[in-house]
Amino acid sequence: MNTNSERVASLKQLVGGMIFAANRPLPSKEIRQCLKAVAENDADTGSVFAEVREKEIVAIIEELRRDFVRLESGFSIAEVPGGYRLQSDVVCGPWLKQLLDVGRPNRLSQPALETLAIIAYRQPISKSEIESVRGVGADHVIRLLMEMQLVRITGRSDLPGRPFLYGTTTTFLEHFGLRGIEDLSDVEPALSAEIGALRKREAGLELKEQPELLPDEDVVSNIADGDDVPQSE
Amino acid sequence: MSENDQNNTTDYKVELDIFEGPLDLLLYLIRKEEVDIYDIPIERITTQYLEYISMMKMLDLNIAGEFIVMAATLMMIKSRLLLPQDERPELVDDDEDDPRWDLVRKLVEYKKFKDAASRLQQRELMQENIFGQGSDAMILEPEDPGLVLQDISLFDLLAAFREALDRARPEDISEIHAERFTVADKIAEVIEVVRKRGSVGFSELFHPEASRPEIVCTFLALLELIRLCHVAARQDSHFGEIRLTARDDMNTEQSDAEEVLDEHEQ
Repeated sequence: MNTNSERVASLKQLVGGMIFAANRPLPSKEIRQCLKAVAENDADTGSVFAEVREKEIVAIIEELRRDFVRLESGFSIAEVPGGYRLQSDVVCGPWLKQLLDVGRPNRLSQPALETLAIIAYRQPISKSEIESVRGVGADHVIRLLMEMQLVRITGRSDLPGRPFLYGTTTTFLEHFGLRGIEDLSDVEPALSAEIGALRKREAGLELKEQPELLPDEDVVSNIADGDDVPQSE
Repeated sequence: MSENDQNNTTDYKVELDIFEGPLDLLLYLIRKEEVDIYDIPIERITTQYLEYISMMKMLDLNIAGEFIVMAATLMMIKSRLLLPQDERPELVDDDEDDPRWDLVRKLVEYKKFKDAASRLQQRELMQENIFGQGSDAMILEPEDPGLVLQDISLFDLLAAFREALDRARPEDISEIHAERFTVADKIAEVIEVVRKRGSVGFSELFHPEASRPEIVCTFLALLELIRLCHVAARQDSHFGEIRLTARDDMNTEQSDAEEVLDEHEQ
């Protein structure tokens, strides 16, 4: 019917088009599933891409990203929690803020940032452990961080009194432009050992399928639920 | 102004919760004095620490009990250091030769997280400038006032306060006058100055003739204005001069001083 059957789009075009049109973070896995589905439904147009592997998609995305940077197009592809998305270049910030009429940005205070850092690197962590690092009460700051949905209760400790354990949220990752908790070891190399320990604790929990990105909500809440079972009598 | 109003304004009390802890203050002093964290001159640091505590008391800030506990710890370490090693009384689980060690370990550990916090802050500033598809601008709830001493640490402000006090006119004990300054008046005054000039150096708020009560009032007024986000305090370099600027949203027609006082009433 149309001429497309002769001139099939390139993989790069397809990936770029999907990321543009999705208008939300798009995981590479979903791109692969989409390629596969089209191949099955319409063998004429799509069959070429039936066997594309996720690795190739990731490589193509990186190629696209470099293209965008080279072109100075003002935006590029970035990996964020939940997948890849198009986003504006940092250098355009001041103008975009004016254009979009962004009000005073929400910035965290030092005590809030420190508390958040302790929770991020040591999660799951109890309030008393947080307090012993900072040497001062943390009630108010934890409450504030929870209100801002940067921190959440992820379970309870087995210690006497079964205190709550706190961990960071996806909002936290987004707020600081992190793809996952692992990125924290680049943020502060002196604490990268903490991230290693965190990974080990997680591995010990035998999570069914661990995607490259770290605790998505389900996984974390599973841990919390599991922890709560013996206590809900 | 009626008698009643007068009372209200004199009773103005700044309620500033302090979320910085004693370890914060110690690290601040260590950095300020440029001393080695592994070889803290306890005598000097303790003296300074106590000075800051007494300043906070003078300002009637709600300081946490932990500050007092730390003061006791510092003095204990100091006294142990004075004794020859074999005459130091035994302590439970004390297997260190240096009584400072326990504190040093805590400080070093805390400092790592403090550094991580400032890296996170850099990322936060960068993220502010990135707009992505399919994501709404960050919807963090408005900050709790009281947690917003963000551009500058409380201890930087206290250090500047101390300098202002040092420059104060010596108290004239032969003359005793009624309190002529109130925090409420000073709030109005600071707002006016900051607004008129856009940006003011910290020391410019305290004229050379100012007495100690006046300095205390002005400083409390400033803390309150920072807490309520009417004034931003910035410091371009570590331990440099603090500059105060009006915040963008401080240009309403209504008298800001009245507004601040109203907010306080609620």
